Amino acid sequence: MSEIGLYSILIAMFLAAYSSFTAVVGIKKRRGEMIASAENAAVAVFGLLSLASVALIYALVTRDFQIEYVAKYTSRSLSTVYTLAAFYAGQKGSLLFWGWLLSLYTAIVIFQNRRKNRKLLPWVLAVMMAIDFFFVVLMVFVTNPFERLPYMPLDGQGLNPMLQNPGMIFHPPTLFLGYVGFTVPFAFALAALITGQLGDDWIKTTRKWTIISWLFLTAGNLLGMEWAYVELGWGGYWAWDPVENASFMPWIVGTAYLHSVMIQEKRDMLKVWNMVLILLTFLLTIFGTFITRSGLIASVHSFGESSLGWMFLAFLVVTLIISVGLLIYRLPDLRSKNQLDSLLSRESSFLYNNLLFVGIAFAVFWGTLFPIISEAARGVKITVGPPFYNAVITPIALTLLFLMGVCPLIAWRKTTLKNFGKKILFPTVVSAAGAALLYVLQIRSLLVLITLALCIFVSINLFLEFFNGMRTRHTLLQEGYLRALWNLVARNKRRYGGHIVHFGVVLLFMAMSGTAFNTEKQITVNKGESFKIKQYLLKYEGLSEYPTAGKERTVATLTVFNDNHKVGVLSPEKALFRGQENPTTEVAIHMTLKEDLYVILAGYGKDWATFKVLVNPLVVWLWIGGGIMALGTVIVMLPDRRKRKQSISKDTRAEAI
Amino acid sequence: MNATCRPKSAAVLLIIFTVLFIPAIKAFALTAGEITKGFTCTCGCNMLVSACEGSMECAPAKEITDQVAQMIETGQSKEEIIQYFVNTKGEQILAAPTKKGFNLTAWILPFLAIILGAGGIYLFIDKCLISGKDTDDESKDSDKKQVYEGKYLDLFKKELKDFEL
Repeated sequence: MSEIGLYSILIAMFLAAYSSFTAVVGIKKRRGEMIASAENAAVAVFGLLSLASVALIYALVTRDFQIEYVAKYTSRSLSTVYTLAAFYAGQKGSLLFWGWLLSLYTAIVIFQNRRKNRKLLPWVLAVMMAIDFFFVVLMVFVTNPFERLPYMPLDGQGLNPMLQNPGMIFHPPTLFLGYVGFTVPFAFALAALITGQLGDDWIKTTRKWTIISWLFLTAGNLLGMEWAYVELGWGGYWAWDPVENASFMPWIVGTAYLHSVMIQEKRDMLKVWNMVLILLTFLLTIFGTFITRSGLIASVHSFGESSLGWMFLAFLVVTLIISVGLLIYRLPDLRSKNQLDSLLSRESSFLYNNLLFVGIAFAVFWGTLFPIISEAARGVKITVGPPFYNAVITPIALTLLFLMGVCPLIAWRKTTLKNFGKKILFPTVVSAAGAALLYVLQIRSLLVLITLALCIFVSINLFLEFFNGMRTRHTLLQEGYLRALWNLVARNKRRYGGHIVHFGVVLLFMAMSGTAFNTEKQITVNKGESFKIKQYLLKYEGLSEYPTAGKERTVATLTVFNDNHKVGVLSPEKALFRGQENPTTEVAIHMTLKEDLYVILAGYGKDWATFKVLVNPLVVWLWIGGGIMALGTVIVMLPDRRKRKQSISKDTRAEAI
Repeated sequence: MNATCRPKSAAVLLIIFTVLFIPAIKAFALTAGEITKGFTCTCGCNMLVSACEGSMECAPAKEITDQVAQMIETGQSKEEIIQYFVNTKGEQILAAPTKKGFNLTAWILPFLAIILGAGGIYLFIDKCLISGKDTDDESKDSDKKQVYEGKYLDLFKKELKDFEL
């Protein structure tokens, strides 16, 4: 089976090159059959990479330890679900997964555009297949997932214990789906630059691709946060690790693009800027891969030092040169027809939010690279960690939050200061009053008060958007309130779906402000003894040790009381996986809407145990906020029945004519 | 109160609340955790000492925390403890660059970039407004312009063509 996989990627490499080359020749020579052949080749690449993926999964499941990748990432005791997840756990498998996803996306793009965008598609195909060719070349010559060992080990090394968490099943594929997804708008953008078809077509075609990719990247980052929170056992969810930064940067620039592209759709402006943003988003996904694969920057996530990173750097440089070259070449054609009418307009506010989004991306990029720059400039190694990012990003992010509240208040084209003042008055007064109330309720951190006041400010504006729209429909169309709300959202899914996403973001900010009130305690207790943290009383009942299929578990049992009411039993544990020297920590969490009681078993003896206990306020709102963001994004993407009807009737009329 | 006064009143209210809240920042007693939150673990995980110690049973992280706790007990100040660790383990133990010398660029550049970007946006919008105004002015005497263009445009294009040749 592994031979099938090996030959599949080998043939896929030739076919990807053929597809990319033939598509270009087909356009140049105006030969439709060559373009059709290129499309068929691309679909064949998808078939072959699917076959290679199945071959690798088969080798993993059947424990073919003679394949180096299988021996390194699985063992006989590894459960089936994590054996399947091992497909993308290592460098080689993840590259195959990336290449396969890209070929799948290419096949979908071909299918979607078989009757439209015919001028753009061959170039889109050429770009996507060229990128896939790069990945398959790496698989064939540098990191062959089917590489065989000269001997057959009795057992494999097994999957890193930290990766044996449900997060491993969802987080990496979701991130990959987002990362690879941004290749589609990138390819369309390049195709538009090459062909000079710089209108809105490529943007409209790739709108859903961009939103879906963004959704996956959002979900991937949030799932990563959840995984870090429950698995790493330090009570936090975001550590500004270089690899976290690598997935955050394309997300934030992609977010800027999603906003600014609306200006192009509505006012035919910012064409150059939108091009820059989408090219940058893709380049940042490759930059992230470079960081992860090169071992250049120390990270808890990295795949270790390898020559692969430098190949990604070369690929990044070539792509950057091509992108910038094409952009400069087409600059005169990208001039906007319309112009901004005022400093205070919806369009201008989008420019301001774009500035802040890109500013955050730059700050993260700069912080990620600064250790290398410092070493090169001063010869001194330094670290850029959470204190830096928290200090630099927080003020920019809070300004962005403020803009998020202000934007819906500003009209397109122009708003007078007087009008703006009228609209902003009520939310400002209410949020200031809210902050005062919080102060009275003993919240004494200035930063938290500002954050929560801004959260109130944005929430009120969002609420008013829904309320005013609903009331207008109720008054004018005599619809019931719920019906009016439903129709309001259904008839403008982009606008109100966007507002729902923004409300999810507000909840994220609110949850993050809770970190200012984290409480921590480390204590050693004997069996039967109790200890307190805030209003919680924890009684240590004892330890139990027992083996399972893949590990030895040592589980502590704690009965938890909240203000003298029993709320449950927590079981933090240490697990020693087979073949590992050090045990890993499995935290136990009692989760409520108000706060999480987070317990780590730090050490233990015959009759005693040491616990590290944290009370982390508002954490659950991160996951709720993430869910609301996903819901809003899905609403944004839902097809518009009215538009579809219009386009159908237009088609019918066209056919009739 | 008339409508124009309301935004001003709101702004004044906001300032009052902000000023009231500033004294809310309070001082904390020195703890080992407070100092180790500013240190990166030396085990190579790239995490903070406080985070690494909790998650990985890291020996270097524990050693640093114990040493910090001991130094606090002997009455050393935060600055002295930090300086001791920088001297013994190098600047990379600090989780953030210092705010002096070359490291200052790490702190300043992101904000400088945003300020420059804001300046760029201002100039861009300003240019748009000026050209928009010009267009308005031009449209007032558009008839005159059309006559002018009609008369000289062909001549101009011809001359330009000759010049390029």
